[in-house]
Amino acid sequence: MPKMQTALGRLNSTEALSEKNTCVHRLHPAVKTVITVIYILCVISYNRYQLNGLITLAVLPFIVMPLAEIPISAIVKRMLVALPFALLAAISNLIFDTKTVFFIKGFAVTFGMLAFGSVIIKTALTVTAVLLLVSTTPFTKLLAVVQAVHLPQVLIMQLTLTQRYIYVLVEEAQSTYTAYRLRAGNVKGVQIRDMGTLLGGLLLRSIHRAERIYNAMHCRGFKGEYPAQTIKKVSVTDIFTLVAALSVLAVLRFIPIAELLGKVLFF
Amino acid sequence: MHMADALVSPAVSGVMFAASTAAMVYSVRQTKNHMDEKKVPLMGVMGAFVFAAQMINFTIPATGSSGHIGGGLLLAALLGPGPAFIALAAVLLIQCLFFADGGLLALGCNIFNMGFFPCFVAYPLIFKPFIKKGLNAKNITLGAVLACTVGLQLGAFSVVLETLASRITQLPFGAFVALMQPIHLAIGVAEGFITAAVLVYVYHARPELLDAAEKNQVQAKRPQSAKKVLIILGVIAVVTASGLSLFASAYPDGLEWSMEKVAGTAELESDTVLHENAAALQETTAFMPDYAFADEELQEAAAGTSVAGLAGGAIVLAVAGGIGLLIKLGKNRTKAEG
Repeated sequence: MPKMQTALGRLNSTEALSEKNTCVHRLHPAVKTVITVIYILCVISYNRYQLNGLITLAVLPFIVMPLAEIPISAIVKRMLVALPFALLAAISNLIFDTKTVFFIKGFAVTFGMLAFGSVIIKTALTVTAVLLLVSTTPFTKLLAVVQAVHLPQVLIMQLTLTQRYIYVLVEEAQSTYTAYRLRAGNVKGVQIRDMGTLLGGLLLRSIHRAERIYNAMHCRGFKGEYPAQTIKKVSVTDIFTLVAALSVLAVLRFIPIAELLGKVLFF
Repeated sequence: MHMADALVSPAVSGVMFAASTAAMVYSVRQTKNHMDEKKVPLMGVMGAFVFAAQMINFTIPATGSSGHIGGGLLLAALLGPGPAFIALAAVLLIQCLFFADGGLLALGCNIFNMGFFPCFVAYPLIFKPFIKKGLNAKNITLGAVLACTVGLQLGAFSVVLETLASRITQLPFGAFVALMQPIHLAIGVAEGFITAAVLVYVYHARPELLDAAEKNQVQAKRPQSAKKVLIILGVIAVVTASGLSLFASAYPDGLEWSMEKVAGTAELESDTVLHENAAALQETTAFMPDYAFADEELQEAAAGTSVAGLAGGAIVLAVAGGIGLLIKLGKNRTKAEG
């Protein structure tokens, strides 16, 4: 099924990208996580009509992407996933918010248009930020950060196991689905009456697998504790990058650069 | 139903993060104290199962469209609500990180909408009473269909409230609700039947699995002192109340109108501790977005965005793009030389 292949492909490609060795990849995972969260906060802190500042925030991904050697196509593909629901919310603005803000060469720009643009740009920037984080940091390292701040063991084990077993179970779901398709003739999707047996079978096989995994873990000395992962120390470069990135964010967020530049150059 | 970061304001995201964290603390405690280590891999694999199961689309009869299960109630029935909540939260985090399905700061909203309602509302209040009457195919089916439908309706309504409170869309409340609820009613009923079919299948093949979840629940409940539960519920109440009051501050007319209908007055005396706490919490969170209204907001917005600003923004972007291109070319050259 294409959907499952796409999902596995995405997981694989993200993991492959995160194994690269660039200056962005070498940064401390905690530093990258903090910068990403604050960046997204900055993006969503603009209200629905403030476009100028929002646009200048796009500067950061434009610089980080080539530095980290992340192809833009990888990001665009994932953005398509997030867009439909955002579009639904955005389009209503075009319809309900029709007061004019200003004219550009006789073309009336409405508040709805600004709000529409704002939702689309916000979606693009927030998706890009998260994607850059996972494409430059292996999942295990992100989990090590989570572990270092003493989040509950059970949560960390849950994330580790789920992420690992998604590969296995999606492949299993895929072969189950292929078997169904081969027998079901020319039908689209799975008939609703067959879903119980199909998912039920998959579920029971998953539970069997969990039992085997437990036995294997138990044989290797598992006592319900997840061993602490080693995480590298924060270096001077990391601290410098953190301070620099946060300063740039503060400048972009609080100084109306776009406005000033536009006025100096054009008006 | 996964909300993107672009659809929430920092205040709404913060409030919902707090609410989900409270539910998470409760779940972790429940899981830690009363679960044998055998369940650890089971929870992990079940999380992955839900992820895989969501990839299998079913055709909704007579419509030509398709849907997939959410899995909240299924997990709650097999693992108990606490572990199910943790498993769902992990799935949602992975979906957000690797698939851009839901935002990172909107994660609190998504965990609450898709995890809290099925695990802590639909399961204990609807599904469990049916199962208590007797574990058989009929009760499982009735319970699952009702619980899934109600759980999804609550989740969808919560999405509407969160989006409107974030002031991202101009869609009127009524229209938004009229759009969201019926769609999710159809999906909820279909999901309910499928969840029921899966559970009945499991019940016939390995009845002890459902039985164990049920027993685990009973054991898990007993040692939790009433005080702890009350404290956690209190935190959730305050957080939800402050979320609602944020919503109220964004939409004073609608709420006052309905209050007049219900209470006969537009103002209520605020003499409860809960209300004061909620007000205090709101004060500390409300500085982030400015809730200016109507003309005032439009004027302010007009001052914020202008032709000059947009032109300047385009220049900044072009320069950044240029720098990015230079870095890329530089890297390519180094690689070619190396």
